[in-house]
Amino acid sequence: MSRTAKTFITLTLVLILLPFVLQTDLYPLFRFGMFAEPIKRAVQTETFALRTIDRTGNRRIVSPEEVHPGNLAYLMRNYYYRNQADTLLARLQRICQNPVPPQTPIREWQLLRVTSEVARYRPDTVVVARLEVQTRETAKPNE
Amino acid sequence: MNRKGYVFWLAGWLSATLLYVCWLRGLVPQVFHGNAPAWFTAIVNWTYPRFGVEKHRFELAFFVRHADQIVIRFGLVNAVALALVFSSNRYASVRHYWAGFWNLRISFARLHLYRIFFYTGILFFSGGWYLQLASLHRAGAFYKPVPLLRLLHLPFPPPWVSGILCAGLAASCLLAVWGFRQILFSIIVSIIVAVLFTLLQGWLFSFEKMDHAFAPITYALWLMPLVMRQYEKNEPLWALQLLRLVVGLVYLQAGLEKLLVGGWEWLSPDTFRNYLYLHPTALGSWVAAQNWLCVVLPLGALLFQLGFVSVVFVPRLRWVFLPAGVLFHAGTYALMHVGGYVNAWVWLYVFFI
Repeated sequence: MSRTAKTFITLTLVLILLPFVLQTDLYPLFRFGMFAEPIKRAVQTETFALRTIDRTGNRRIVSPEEVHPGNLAYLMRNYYYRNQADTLLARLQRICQNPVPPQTPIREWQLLRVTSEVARYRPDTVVVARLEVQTRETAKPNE
Repeated sequence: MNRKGYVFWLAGWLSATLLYVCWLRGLVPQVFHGNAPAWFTAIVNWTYPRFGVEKHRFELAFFVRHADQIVIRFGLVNAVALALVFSSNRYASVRHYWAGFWNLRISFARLHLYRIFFYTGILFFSGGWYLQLASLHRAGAFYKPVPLLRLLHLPFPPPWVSGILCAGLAASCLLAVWGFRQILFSIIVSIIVAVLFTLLQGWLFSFEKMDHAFAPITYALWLMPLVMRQYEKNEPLWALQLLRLVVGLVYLQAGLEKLLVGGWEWLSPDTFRNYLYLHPTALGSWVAAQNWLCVVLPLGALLFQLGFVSVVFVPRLRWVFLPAGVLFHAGTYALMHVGGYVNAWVWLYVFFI
């Protein structure tokens, strides 16, 4: 086997193992750490959800696929922890002016944080951000 | 490698470990509290982009353990590499074994089966990408490119660009399936498939979530041009053997992650039960209520992931591990809706047949 072949094999193996050693994805190199961390903290069970309230007061949990074709669960969590939940709601509202089904106009968007004690699964839901939709009636004159 | 080489290697390994223990480990609390030197913060942000979010979710001890893991894993990889190099240098039988291992030759029919099956899979798995990219375009405000795309200064593509690139990927896959015999053409087509697949997948992952569904296929894509070149030149197919080894190592890494991060606690029935509750399905809820299944299934999964790489060295074990792999991926989907019944990981098993 030539020296070039040996170098290529070594380099490939180093690159494949690099994300394993550094414990991070370095696209197009991947770390395979899914389901490796045992769930011991309540924070590991948390999920986020989007809710809309229409003009008649009806509340509806919005399915992630309705508003964002990517992985909304991660975006909601990341924006929440970066203190950008308001930005998230504003962007989602702009992307999705009329969520499906467009029945009654939406009055408010809410970001919900759902947590539960480990192994108890009695969820606790808190509204962590809300965005009132500006309409002609609610908008201030200078807007 | 001579004695000097080993001394140099061991000294470098020891120095790096001491550097961490005596200095870098102390910087972890500083970066957690936001008062670390700028260069260290920059390194952490680059190598661990989730740190900005996770420092609000986990305590300091979690990140110190995370940093310790880097040194432990670096040591583990070094120890295995050193053992391999040392044994190859010292024992002729080991050298002979490795020479035979890399000197792989297979029939014309088998290689073409691999090529046709593999590139048909790429065509199939990337079939829906245009629609995904086109609909992601309206969510451009959330675009946060993966480092590779950031490095290339690539913005998110408008639908017409995605359309051209996806059409290019599909056409290249078809040409690769067709399989021209001209060396240059085959290699160029397979390189184009690898580049386009990596680029388009990178855009799909640029919304703060990396998916691993196509990870081993991505690795295989980058090795296939070399496999085809070697075959066309009638050389030993060490690149194909490397491809198999890489797939085996991917499973091994997934298994080692569980042992290194979770320890033996990972095998506790509660760990598996918690995963099932977090990814609820009807079957998963039933399994969660059966204590013995919550012991047997994760143990089986761990043994499968740690053992799969043995197929590369003892090919007859494929009749155990390949069916086990199909069951493993189908089971993960049935129990937690992770992955799918038609799985890109399983698609790669063709290279082991």
